[in-house]
Amino acid sequence: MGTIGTSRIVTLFSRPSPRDKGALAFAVAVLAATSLAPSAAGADFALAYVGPESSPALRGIQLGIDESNIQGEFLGVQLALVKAEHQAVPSGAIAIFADSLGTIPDLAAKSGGRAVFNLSDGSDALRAACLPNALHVHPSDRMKADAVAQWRARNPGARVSAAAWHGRAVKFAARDLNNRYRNRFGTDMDQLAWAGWFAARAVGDTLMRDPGADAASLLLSLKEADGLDGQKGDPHSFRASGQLRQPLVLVDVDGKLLGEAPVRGAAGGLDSLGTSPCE
Amino acid sequence: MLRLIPALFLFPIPQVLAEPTYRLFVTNEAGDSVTVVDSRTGEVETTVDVGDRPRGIGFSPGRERVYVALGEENAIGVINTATLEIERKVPAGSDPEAFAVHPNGTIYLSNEDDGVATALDPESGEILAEIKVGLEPEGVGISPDGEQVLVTSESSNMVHVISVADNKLVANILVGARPREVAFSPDGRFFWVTSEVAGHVSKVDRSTNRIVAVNRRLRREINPRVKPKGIVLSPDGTRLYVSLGRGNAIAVMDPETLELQGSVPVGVRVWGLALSRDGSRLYAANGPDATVSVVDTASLKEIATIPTGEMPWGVVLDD
Repeated sequence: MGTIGTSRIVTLFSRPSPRDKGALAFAVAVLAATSLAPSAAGADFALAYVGPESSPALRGIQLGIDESNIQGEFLGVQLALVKAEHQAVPSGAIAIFADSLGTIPDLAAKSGGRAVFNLSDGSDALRAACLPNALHVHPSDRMKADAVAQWRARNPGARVSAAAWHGRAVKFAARDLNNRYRNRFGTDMDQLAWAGWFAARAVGDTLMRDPGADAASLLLSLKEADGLDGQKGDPHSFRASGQLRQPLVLVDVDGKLLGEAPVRGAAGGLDSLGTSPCE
Repeated sequence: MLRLIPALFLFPIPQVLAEPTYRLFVTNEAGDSVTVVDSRTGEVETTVDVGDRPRGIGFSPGRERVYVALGEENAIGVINTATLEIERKVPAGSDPEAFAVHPNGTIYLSNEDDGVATALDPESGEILAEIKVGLEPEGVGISPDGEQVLVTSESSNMVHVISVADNKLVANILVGARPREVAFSPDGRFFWVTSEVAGHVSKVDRSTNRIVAVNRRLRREINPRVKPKGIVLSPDGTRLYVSLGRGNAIAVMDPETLELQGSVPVGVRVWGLALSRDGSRLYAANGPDATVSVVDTASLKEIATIPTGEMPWGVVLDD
């Protein structure tokens, strides 16, 4: 069993293409030709990333895909990442990861029903839109506000903010994931990186279980899953709004980790964070 | 006087056991110690400072030694069961977490941060094999016939089946998220596995390596905080006991169908389990409570709690 190296990424040139499928084949061909990662040409599934090259979300996706491919080595299923422009997401990609503020509705509308993972936009209106194929891994602004309010109810006057992840968290298996990210990239995993990692692992784990999946069945499986692992202890799942149900961390003004929300004993558990207007 | 393990459970070679001490040994993950309890009285006999981050715990085949995985020391600590001396620490690869001891004496252990399982001869200190498995390998089990080792990989959601003869993977079985521990049926036909984040307990037919039953309902049937972790089968094979982490209870399940038969409330974040040889007492480690619960399995009631060190993790009983 060989080890998996770096993620397979290829920049998709934003040239007009009659068929996006052709564009993906082209991307894979470029990748094979430049021997960045020859085995990517034989990948079973392509996943597209839309967003800045410099985004921590992309690093998280890379780690998540590599970790999915470690899982896939034992099962004979491999994933490859394709970097795409907003207007030219190849149709061969089975799901789309986006670090792209304000553009999720457009991406979701143009994606042909494929899952579009929102990795960075906290807009409550975006959740209220109840888009059928948007999966919001990034917590909504409302979830973060509720987390802060729960914390302040117990610690009046505390100056805190809420986030999806903390790079120095150790509880549950956060220690393991933070170590893997830091060893790979030399920096702490932040919440965008976590969102990218989570999205890639959730897609990967779902495809490993159903290697015959298509984009529609993948989206359905993701929306029905009730025990996704975010390495934050509690099982994660998607609300009808597409928002990921998840615990959050509370951080002080110096960036120090203070605790978690829901705070212990909060009524409603994970659903004490944020509202679910589509349910 | 020596005892022979009843041949049913066994390895072809009958194991000769030392006279039982009736000691209960508990690893304290944050206390860096092992609490030693006289199980006949429930009194703490002593606390042994064993080293950095002890988690997995188990006996040598003859029970003369207690092995403890010391994650932060990259070693297995060896305690003399009778004298309680720490005899040595055997290098065991990076971050050993959990292990099982083969009847031939080899320790099969999971190296959590390296993604490998290691076969270690604790006498010579020789690492006999390293087998690449998934991310965050955790629970280890050895089949009753000694022919296979199972290792769960928590972050790859798989049970890896390893052939003892050649240390090669023979199957990789996807199960619910974050698989933690396995238990075998005495005849070796089945094993059961807990999935902590999914909240599942699954039963696998070893002749096909396929899941034949899953209980996905424990969170609805017991409480939403349930996270299955430890798992042991009663000596008569009629009950599975599953520790439920933050569910703060132990599930009692039918091994055949995985139907819930009952649950026993215990302490907070219950993980490690050990059964007495006669099956009448179940011991369970409650991490943040720093206690071990003693459960009477006839009445399915907690009848005592025993204080431990900080964050008790695993439990074994020499009876």
